[in-house]
Amino acid sequence: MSVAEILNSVLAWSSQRITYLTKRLEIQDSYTSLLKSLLEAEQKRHIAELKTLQLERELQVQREKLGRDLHDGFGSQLTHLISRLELLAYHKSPDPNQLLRLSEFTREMNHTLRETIWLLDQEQITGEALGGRMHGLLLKVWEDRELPYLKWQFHDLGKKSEVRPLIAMHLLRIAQEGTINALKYAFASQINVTLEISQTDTSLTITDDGQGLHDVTYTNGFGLNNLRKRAEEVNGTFFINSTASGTYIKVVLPLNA
Amino acid sequence: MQIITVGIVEDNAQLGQDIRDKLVLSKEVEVLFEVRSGHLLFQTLQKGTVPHILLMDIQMPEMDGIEATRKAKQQYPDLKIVMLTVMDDEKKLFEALQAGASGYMLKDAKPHQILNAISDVQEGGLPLSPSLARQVLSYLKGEKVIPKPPIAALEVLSKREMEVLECLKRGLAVKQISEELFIANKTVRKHLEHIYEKLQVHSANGAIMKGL
Repeated sequence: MSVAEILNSVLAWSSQRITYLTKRLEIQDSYTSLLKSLLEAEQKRHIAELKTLQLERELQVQREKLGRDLHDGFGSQLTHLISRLELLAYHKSPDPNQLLRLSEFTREMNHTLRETIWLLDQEQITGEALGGRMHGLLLKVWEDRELPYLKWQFHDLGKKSEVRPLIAMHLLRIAQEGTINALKYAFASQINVTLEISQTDTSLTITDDGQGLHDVTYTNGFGLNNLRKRAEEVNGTFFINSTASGTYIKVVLPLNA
Repeated sequence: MQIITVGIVEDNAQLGQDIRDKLVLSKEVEVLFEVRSGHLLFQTLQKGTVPHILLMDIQMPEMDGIEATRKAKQQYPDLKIVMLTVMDDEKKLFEALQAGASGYMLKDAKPHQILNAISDVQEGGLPLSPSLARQVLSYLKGEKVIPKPPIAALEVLSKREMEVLECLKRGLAVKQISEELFIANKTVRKHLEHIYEKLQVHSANGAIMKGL
């Protein structure tokens, strides 16, 4: 074998070696980038998991608040019912009107219970679903009643807005309690209820052309005080103006409290 | 027969009326006033209308029942206060006892239960529920269940008072306690009254108040 031949094969071997090493480096590189993307994927998964956990926790908090509202509201109402029934029993001959009032009171509770259970089942409620639900609720309140005339309006300005169950619950309760209050005390010929959802908040307006609400009803049991309390609980605002020619109530709640 | 005068502090008009209607069933009790808030209570008291017993709602907007109780006991130490509640939230009730309440009553109690409770309070205090008795006991013993245990609190509880509390913890009623400890009902109530008083003195606010 000549020197040239030896040199040639060394060269060939070297170039092979270089190709091999280059390939190896390439493989290592792609292995590293594979590991990197795996790590990134893992990180993304962790972040997603964390987000889910956070969402779950928020949902849990909302559920607890809903539960507490159920507890407080129904607790007081059941207490009232029990007390009245017992007093009727003490008086021996119950007045049929009182019994009818109590059954009406209990029926209202039942509506509320159904609403709340529906709310507890949802994670987010579309503005449209809330509007539909509120309209249905008002029709129930107006059942067997022609006057005062009910004028219902719904506007979703945010387009396909979503509302949290807790906010939806307060809005439904305010609409219910507010209109029942007006029906009981305002002696109006028309009651207007308007629900408006924008990108940031929801506003509910209840107006009537009645004789205005007197001081007594301002502090009445499940009446106006309760509406204010509900609005303030979720950092919303409550406004009322009542004169001899009618009452104007406006409640604004943030979409995501 | 001495008539017991009562004032009602309740922000919910319907529930206030319910309580009032239960009370008027008895000729031994007279309702002097019914107000909707702590602020209105003090306006009424300042006019000189001070009843023997106040029935006080715990949950009220602005000034809640616990704060109103603390303030009322400060200004009218002889006034007896019974908390009214819908749910027996023990944490709140314990705070109310420390603020000076002599017991609590569920708002859906039967008329005769409410009337009995009122005459019980007039003679001392209302019996505590077993779980509240346990809290009171561990608090006065200085166990760390409740924040800020008092110093050497055991000294303030007499042997008899401890026994009464232990009985309440087991769920015994006043009559059963009197039979078990061979003392009169009235004596059991006196012990209860003292327990309530000591609880108040040894609550953080109470201690500061008395020190001033």
